[in-house]
Amino acid sequence: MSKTARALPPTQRSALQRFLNGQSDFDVVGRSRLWLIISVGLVLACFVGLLARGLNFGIDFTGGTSFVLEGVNETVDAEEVRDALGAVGVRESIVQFVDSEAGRGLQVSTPDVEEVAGTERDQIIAALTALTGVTREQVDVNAVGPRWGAQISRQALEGLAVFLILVVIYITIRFELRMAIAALVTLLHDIVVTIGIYAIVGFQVSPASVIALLTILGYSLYDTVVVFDRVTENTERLGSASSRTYGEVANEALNQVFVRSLSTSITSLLPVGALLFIGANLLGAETLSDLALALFVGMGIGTYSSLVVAAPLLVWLKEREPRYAELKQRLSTRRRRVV
Amino acid sequence: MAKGRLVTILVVFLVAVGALWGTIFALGYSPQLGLDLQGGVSITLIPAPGQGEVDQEVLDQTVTIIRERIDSLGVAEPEISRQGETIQVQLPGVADQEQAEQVIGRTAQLQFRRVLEVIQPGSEGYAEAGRDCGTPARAAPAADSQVVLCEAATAPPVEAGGEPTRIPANQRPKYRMGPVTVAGEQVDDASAQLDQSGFGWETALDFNREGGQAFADMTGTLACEPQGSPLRQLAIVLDGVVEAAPPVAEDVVCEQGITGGSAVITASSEGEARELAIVLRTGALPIQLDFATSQSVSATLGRDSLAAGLQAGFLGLALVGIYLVLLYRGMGLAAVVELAMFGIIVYGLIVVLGETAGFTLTLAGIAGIIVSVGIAADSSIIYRERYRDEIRAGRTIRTAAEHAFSKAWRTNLTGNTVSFLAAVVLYFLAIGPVRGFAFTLGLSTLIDTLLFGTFTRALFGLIARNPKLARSPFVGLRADSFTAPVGGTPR
Repeated sequence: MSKTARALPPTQRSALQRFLNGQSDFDVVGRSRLWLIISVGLVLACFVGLLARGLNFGIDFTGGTSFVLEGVNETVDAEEVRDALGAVGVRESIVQFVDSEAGRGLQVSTPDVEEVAGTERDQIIAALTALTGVTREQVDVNAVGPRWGAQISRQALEGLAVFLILVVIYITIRFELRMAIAALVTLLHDIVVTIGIYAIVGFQVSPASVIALLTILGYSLYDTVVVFDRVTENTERLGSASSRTYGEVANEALNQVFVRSLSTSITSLLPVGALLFIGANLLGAETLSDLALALFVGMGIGTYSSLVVAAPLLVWLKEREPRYAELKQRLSTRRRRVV
Repeated sequence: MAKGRLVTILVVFLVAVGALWGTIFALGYSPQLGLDLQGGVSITLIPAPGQGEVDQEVLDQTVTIIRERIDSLGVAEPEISRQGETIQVQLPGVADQEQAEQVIGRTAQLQFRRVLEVIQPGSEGYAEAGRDCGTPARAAPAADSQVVLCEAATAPPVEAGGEPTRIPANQRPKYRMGPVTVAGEQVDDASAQLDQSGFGWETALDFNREGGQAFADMTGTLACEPQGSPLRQLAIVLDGVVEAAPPVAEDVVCEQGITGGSAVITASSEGEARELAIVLRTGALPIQLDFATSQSVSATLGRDSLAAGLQAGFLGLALVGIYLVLLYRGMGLAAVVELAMFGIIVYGLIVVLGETAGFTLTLAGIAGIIVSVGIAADSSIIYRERYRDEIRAGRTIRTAAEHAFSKAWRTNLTGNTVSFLAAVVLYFLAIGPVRGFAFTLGLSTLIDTLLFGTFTRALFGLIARNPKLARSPFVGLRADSFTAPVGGTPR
């Protein structure tokens, strides 16, 4: 019984097998320039998208009221709902029907209600119940004042700042300052790209998406840290007499964690995808679907960035250190001589 | 690590989990569901702008007053909490959103005024006097001039314990009244008590020195008016509505009034007496608050949300399980057992924390758990990938399992520290539902590390030490089960 790997000649293996085996040799670090162009392009596109289209803020940010009615009369259509709302002075509204086992559900969101607990709201409820045949007790109301969004955003920004500071401190202690800088830049990249995608696609921004953004950062950082952990482990043995540069060793470490990164992304996205799928068919459960959507978008970006942004950036920073710069210099002259 | 120790770890771990669930079953614990899952009303309040920096003490005082007011509603287990400047009011079960808003939003400005004229509905000049009783007052009535205000829209119930009757807007009498003579701030204390006959209820008032004097002066003047004249009436105005306008009793002496700094207001029921007492005692809120959010969730919607959350959780877990088995064969199945164990512990702790520490599971909390499934799966993946690396490096199955553990453990600790950090920051800085998300995320991260260091380690180690299992191609520990071409036989 063999207990060691049988090393088959490389030609007998497909790229997929080599990949699953952690023996892939993608030259990620060597193509830093390509990743730099892609990432800078991505960030620029996101900035343009953000400026051109802006973010689509939900009623939690703009203020407004949403009504959820269950067991709505099947014959009612969106036009009738809008007419009924118009009769009580509501000019703008988003009307949405969802059919489920429990019967027909209706969700109406309107930014027109000025006061959270005012009389306008009662008029709208009366209009909706009269039209749909739903009793007052079955109407769920979610009213948000205009200042709530600012409050949430402020707290999210404070949270973000505190988190980033703590992360830099932790990575500096656990690894080193250069890794902290690389991780920080990667995080900023993730923030800009996630927000940019929200602007470009026009996804609605709710408090849940803000929360998700913070979670994504935790996730992306977790991924980055796993990559850095491996790089640190592999480069520990790197001395002045080594035959490989820091970049080459880091690239090898990257290839070793590829399968893990991919598997982790898949196993993280599967439950979030399930959440997204099931949350989409449920009225009033925006917390679930908004959260899942932002996580779905952000985790993808987090995986991408921890591999092709964080690691090449780290190598670039590290090879500016005299000892690794010397190593690279020496190796490149020696290799030239060999050739 | 010796086999015996691995067995000990596994046994101790299983006993601990058994004890956790034994406690839950023995004491009949069940998870405490949040409002979005069981239905209820949730209201968030923030200080109105233009009041400058509001200090902590004032906010705490405000919370206390709101709590007293909510208690008067008789809702079971209301929860009133403060996070930073925001105040959250949670009323579980079937609570009346409008009523709750009214009780909280009441500014409770109390005024005693002299009645100058009672304008009955239908009488001449009724429509012209003051404003229409159907539209609520936008501002507090001027304190230093004559005003015309409507009587309250609800009249005391006709029979004891009955529903209060609602009076249509156009049938509510209006009162023309003089300036404020005694203000709410001059009331020191108020309480409900049985009246002298012992059958009826009344609200007893204690004024401060200034208020007592003003009250005596006013009642002294009123007592000089003839019996039955509206001019003998004393109006109690609360938030711009005339709550009551009792005449001064016959035995009050003209020019002397009700002295001694106290008075009683006759009430029609115990409930009314108590409610008035609360309002008088708590008076106005020390700060002006704005409604930031007000949400009501019906019990059916809550149930649907809970079902959806659970479905998503199980679907996610199942998909992750299938993926792990495809990738790691038998060891993937072991990873599924690890995930199941993770789920059992997280859920058990949430139930126990709900009963002991009052933690409530919300929709956002469920999302946090679902997200953490990814974190838990990652630990299993890191361990298995590490193991494969060690095998490729030429180690035997047993030593590879041990080396892989110590390396994967280091990665797990580092990665989970970051996730935990994110959860803690979120928990302390976020408001509302986000805290539930952060809490379950943080809890799951802790459990993941705990599980990895005990259960996962022991399970993996023991499988690797069992010659039969380690040799089986289906378990996936053998080198050729992952280095050989898929479906082919190694040469």
